[in-house]
Order: sequence, then C-alpha cells, then structure tokens
Amino acid sequence: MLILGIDTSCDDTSAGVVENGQDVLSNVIASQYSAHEQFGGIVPMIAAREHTKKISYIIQAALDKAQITFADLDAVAVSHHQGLLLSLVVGVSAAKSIALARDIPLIGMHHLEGHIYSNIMGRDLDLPFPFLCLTVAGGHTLLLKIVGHGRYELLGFTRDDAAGEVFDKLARRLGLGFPGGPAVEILAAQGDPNAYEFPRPLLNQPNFEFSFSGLKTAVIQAVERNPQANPADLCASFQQAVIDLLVTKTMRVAKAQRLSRVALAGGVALNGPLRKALQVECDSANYQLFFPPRQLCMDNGAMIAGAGYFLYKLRDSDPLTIEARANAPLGELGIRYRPESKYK
Amino acid sequence: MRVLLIDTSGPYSLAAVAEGNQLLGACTARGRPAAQIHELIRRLLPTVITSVDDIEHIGVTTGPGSWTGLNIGVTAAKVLAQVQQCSVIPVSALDALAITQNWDKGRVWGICKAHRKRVYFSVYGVSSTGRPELPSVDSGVIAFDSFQNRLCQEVGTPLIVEYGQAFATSLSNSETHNYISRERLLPEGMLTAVNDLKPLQQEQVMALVPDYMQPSLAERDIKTS
Repeated sequence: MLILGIDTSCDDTSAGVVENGQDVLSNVIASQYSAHEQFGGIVPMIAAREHTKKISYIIQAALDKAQITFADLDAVAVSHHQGLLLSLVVGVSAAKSIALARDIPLIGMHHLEGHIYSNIMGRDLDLPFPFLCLTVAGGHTLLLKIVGHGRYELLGFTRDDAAGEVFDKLARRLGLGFPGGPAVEILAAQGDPNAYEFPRPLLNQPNFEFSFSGLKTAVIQAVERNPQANPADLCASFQQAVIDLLVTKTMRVAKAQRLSRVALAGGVALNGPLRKALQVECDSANYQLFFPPRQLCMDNGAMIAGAGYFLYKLRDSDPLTIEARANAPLGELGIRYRPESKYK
Repeated sequence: MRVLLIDTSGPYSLAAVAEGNQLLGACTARGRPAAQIHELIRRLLPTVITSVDDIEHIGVTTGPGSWTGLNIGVTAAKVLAQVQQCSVIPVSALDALAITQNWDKGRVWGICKAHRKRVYFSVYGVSSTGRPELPSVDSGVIAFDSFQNRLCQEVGTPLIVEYGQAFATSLSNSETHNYISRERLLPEGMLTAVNDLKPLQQEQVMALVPDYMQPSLAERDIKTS
C-alpha cells in the first residue's frame, strides 16, 4: 500500500511516500530557515505563505523520487492536528485535493503520532509494544507509554516551555541563528559542561513532569550579567542541564512503569550528546533503546505516511470535512498533554 | 471549456461548474472554508458532470479577502490542477465583484477593506453597453481618506461595489456616487471574469500564491525599524 504523507505543521514543507508503513521510498523536506532567520524564530504568517509557495513542488518531488505518479497512490495522510494553524491548513487543503481528485482515502494524523512511528519505520523490527517514548522537539516535551497502535498513555509532560524551544531561545540570545538546536550543540562541543551550575527544575521531585522555563531564565540571565562569558561554556552547561533532566526523568519513568524498551523521537532526538547519555543509561539498566533514522527525526512527510498506514488499518478514512487544529488530544484515548491555559 | 470555480475569500465558500458562458451548477456554504470547499466540490460534481476528470480549467479567487481562506482555496485549486493536469485561472475578487454590474454614468470601483484604515481598490472602465472591462485600469491599496479624495475627482458618477460592509456607513449617503455592497461573490461574476482572463501555464500554477497577502507584523516591524 503506497501512502503519500504531507506535513506542514510548522516551518518545514515536507512530503514523503512510504510503502506498507515501513519502506521509505521518498522523503522530501523544504526548510524555511532563510525566511525566518532574520526574526530569530518562526513567524506563522511567513511560514504559511512559504508552504503555499512550495507545496506543489514538494509533492511532485516526493512522487518523482519514489518513481510513481498520483495514479499509483492508495491513500494520502496529512498532519491536521498539532502545530501552527496557518501552516497546517495548507497541507490539509493539498491532501484533500489529492484525495478528492484520485478518490482515495484521506487519513488525518496527529503530528506527534508521526514522531512516535518514526521509530518503527525504515527498519526491520518486530513492533516493540509496549515501549516508552520520549518525544522532545520545539513544540512539546512528553513521555508516552505506547501501548499499541494508536493507544498511548501520557506519563509526563512539560509544565511550561518545550526543550527544543529553549535551545532556540538561547541560540537567538547568543546570535547563533535559527534553528538553535544544532548551533548550540556544535558550540557546546567546544565548551565545559561544568562551567556553570544551571538549575535542573523538578529533577528531584517524585513526579514525571518537566519544567524548562527556570532553566531558560537562568541561562539568559547568565548571558546578560556577563556579556564576556564564553558562549561555548554557556552552551555546554545548558545542554548538560537539559540532558540531565530528560535522561533522569525518562529512566525514572521506565523503571516505575517496568518498560524495558525506550524510544526517542522529535527534532531534539538529533542531539548527539543526548543520544549518547540515554544510551549509556539504558545499557547500564539493560534496556533496549530505539532511535529514529536521522532523516526521520525532524518534521517530515514520510513519518506521517508511515503512521498513517498503521492507523488506517485501525480505523476508517477521514471525510473531506476534517479541519486543522493547533492543539488536539492525542490517540484513541484522547490524551491532553498541555496544561490548561490560565487565560480563558 | 469546462471550468470549476472556487471562492473561499469571504464568509461564504463557493463551488461552481460552468461550461462556456453557462453555469451548470453552484453551491455555497456559510462558514469556515477549510472544512467546506472540498466537500462542496465533491457533492457538486456528480450533479452536473460525471467526475472531476471532466474539469478542464479551475478558476480561483486570489484576493483580496480572508487570508486563511485564500490560502486554503488557492492551495486546493493548484493541487487539484496538478493532479488533474489542468490549468488554473486566478481571479481577483474585485474583478468578480465588479464584472456583474451595469453602469453607464461613470467608472466602476471595486473595493474591500484592508487593515489599518486602508482600502483595496480596482477601477474599471465601462464599455458602450455599460459593462465593466477587464483588466482594471488601476488597482492597489490606499488609505481610506485618499480613496475618498480620489472619488471626488471622478468624472461622472462612479459606481462603488464593496466586498463586505466595512464602509457602508461612510459611503452610502454620498450624492456623488452610487454605492452597493455584497456579502459574497456570485458564481456569475466569477464565470464572467474567468472567461475574460488567460489560464496560467503549469509552472505558474505550481508557484501560485494568493495576491494581496499582507506582510506579517514581524515583516512590517523589520521594514520600519
């Protein structure tokens, strides 16, 4: 079964073709870094306009690379939940047009499901249910127990900022450009991770929640108080604090839930020191650790197509009336993973 | 020439099918275009033609109008055209608005509210039969005060056709021009405009974005700083 996956949830326009949920035939991503770089972050209106400009080219490139045409597609999957609303609507509109024109099933996906399923795709693995998934990116940081296809239990999430977002904020403050994650990681490799003693909020609390806003404030204040500070030391110390928080909480959850399989997903899963630290801890606990292939860590269409295959087998296709939603519950159990807004 | 017409520029979504100058069918729905336009097309097509494969051109409004609505409508049209290998005819909402009028006392102005007390406008000369002629002789976005000054300089009595109701109170009592407003575009207007315009080449279709997409606040901040 050939599925075209489309993801326009944030600032990457992406489309990919996946066969039977496993074989990635193509995965084309157009980044918008240059359009957003001067603003130090993503501007939703610019992101939406760039998606509209590029969407046709990206879909065509994904088909060409997979050496198929629209007529070969069996279904089209699209991220319609979770992300920037103005961006999501572009992908949803494109996917609906393909489903309408070819009369094929439309599969509306939650963006996070794509990240979760990126651990299953592109490799010959027995499906490792149940497993613990640390999903960490610019828009979310959460710990999920993946019970089965489409069935997740929320075990922990961030009370405030997402880990990836804090990387971006520090990079902007230091003038390292956008996106911040890779820039901070490169600079951190030259610094001393013990140079600054940044706080590790909630680290010793007996819950499974994260908090990064205090850490963000501390590192920004360190930059402001001492403009001559070595940015490499700042980045290294900050990165170490984030890794300590993520790894400690993940291992604590895995132990408490007796989950011997751990997966890492999302854009921050590309961070080398995080992968290494988690691998060391998992090895010592005799846990199995999964990483997604590097090309499936960032937002991409292939992960949506792959997840779409498994979830299409669980439920019927979606009608052409599905809508984009910036924040939507996850999975069959309707998990809500964000604290209620204080501003009603 | 069999044409599918799509409008998501305002509070109503419109899907219509026409052949030549004849409208074969149309349906509208009030509310969010994101959820409705594809479903409208799916419901409409079997009632007027056999399938989507019978479509030769797609006419779509490219603004001015709802920012998100236009983005959805234009994306829907260009990807549909990409799959079906047909062409797209972009239509200004002001063209579709003005073209259905008949006026022989002066020029026709199509207007629509822009943010920050400004007006999108297009001005049309009229033929000897009183029909507005495409393309417009002038168009752009100006401050509302400047727009009123320009109205005062018009020869004859201009006809103002507004998309929406933003300037209804300010303009409706003037004796120097005639004023009407419309809440939505009519399929007849889109069809007339489409028949007067040229289809885009395939490469132009791929790159199509809505006109009138205003810069974001962040872009305006950068420009003014």
